[in-house]
Amino acid sequence: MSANQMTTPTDTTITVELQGHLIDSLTLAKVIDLIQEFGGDYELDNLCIGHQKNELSSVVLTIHAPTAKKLTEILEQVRPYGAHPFVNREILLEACPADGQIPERALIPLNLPREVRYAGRVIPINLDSMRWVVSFNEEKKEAVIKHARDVKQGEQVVMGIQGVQWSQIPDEGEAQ
Amino acid sequence: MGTLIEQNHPKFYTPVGKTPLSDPAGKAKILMCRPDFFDVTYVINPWMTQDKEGSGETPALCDVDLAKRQWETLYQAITQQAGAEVVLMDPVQDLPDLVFTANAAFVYQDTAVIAHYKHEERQGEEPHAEAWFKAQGFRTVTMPSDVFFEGAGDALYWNGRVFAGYKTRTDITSHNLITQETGLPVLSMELIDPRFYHIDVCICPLSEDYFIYSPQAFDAYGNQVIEANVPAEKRIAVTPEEASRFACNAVSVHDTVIFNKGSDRLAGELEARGFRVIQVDLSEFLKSGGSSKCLTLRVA
Repeated sequence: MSANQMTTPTDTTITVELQGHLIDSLTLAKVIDLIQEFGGDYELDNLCIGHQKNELSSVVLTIHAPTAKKLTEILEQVRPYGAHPFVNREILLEACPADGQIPERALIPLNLPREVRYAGRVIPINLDSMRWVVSFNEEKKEAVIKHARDVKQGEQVVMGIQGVQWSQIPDEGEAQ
Repeated sequence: MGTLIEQNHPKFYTPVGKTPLSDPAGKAKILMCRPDFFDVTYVINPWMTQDKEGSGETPALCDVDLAKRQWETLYQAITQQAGAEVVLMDPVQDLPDLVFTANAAFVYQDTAVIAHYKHEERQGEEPHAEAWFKAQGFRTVTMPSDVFFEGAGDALYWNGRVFAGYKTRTDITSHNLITQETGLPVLSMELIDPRFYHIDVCICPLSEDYFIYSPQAFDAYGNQVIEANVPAEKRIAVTPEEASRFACNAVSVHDTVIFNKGSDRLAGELEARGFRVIQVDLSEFLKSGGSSKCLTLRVA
């Protein structure tokens, strides 16, 4: 199930998201154990694992509880681990200050392909210092990944990870 | 004092590229703050009360003159015996805990991630820390107003990654900003005992990737994370008694380790591995929940 197909919130169900060092720190394992320990169950809606140790992971979970009180208890338990109600937020944009310059906190996507196999060999892809950004054309409603050196002054680029999906979202007709 | 190593032996220098600091083989630079206004005037951790069995709201009685002498002894040990350079931040009246500079920020190369304290009593320290780091030429980063983060008290660099505490004082979401601003991977460690409210009273990274820690301060998940990341031969567990004497809250400068007095077993274990151990009496600072590491912040 993808992020825009979440279970409709009820008094015994809620969809939450976590972002951070969820795998190496065992935070996701801890949250899942807590949900079950407090009588709940969960569905894993979306999981994006950082490829490198310095990349954040994110997860969207739908929590089910037998009663509203139990659900409140579970939410109180998982909140200190960074779990908060999932909100379908939109991207933040900022204009590039000059040609070839990107804003300080622009999203630099890291979950790109790293290598290719050719003639029995694994060949690394030259990602040129990972200086890629997501450029967004508001008029055309078009998002393009391009190298930071190719941006133009005033071009809008995506800031941070808010509103960014790593799995493909079906269009509205498909989602229904 | 250990006898197995020569002082300043190169093996105790962290290799370039693995260090949080700009010049690992150079003279260590440590930020301290004289305890001119130090006292225990409020209770925000279990060590600060004199009424541990009762309501816990009465601050512990602190001998502030003795505290000043103890601080001076630590200062001398760091500068004269460990050979580090100490830089000083000005003390400020009504900010008694400004002396605990470890909490001011997490420092990585030229970036200082400034603390945002959970307790209102300490939030007045934040602008002083930020001003100091800016004046020294650091790039400063601050947390969003709703995210608490208590500096190097809850973020310790070890061997290319950061062990970061959360839940008692620091919010786990602050760890994401550390990664975003420094590029460092973070291991988020839940602190389960209110007495060990910062990770720097539970873990101390030492030279040559050694690692002192208190297993009792972490749950099974936390201990699993430590065991998965720190080789068994590098892990040095302290006893619950040593942890209560703040043995993990140590200052580490190359081969020298400085901690509060009373942990002879641990001192022997470190000396057997080639470290030189200096134990100093920091009783008055323990009444505030801090010891030698809390009184220092490595800035270069």
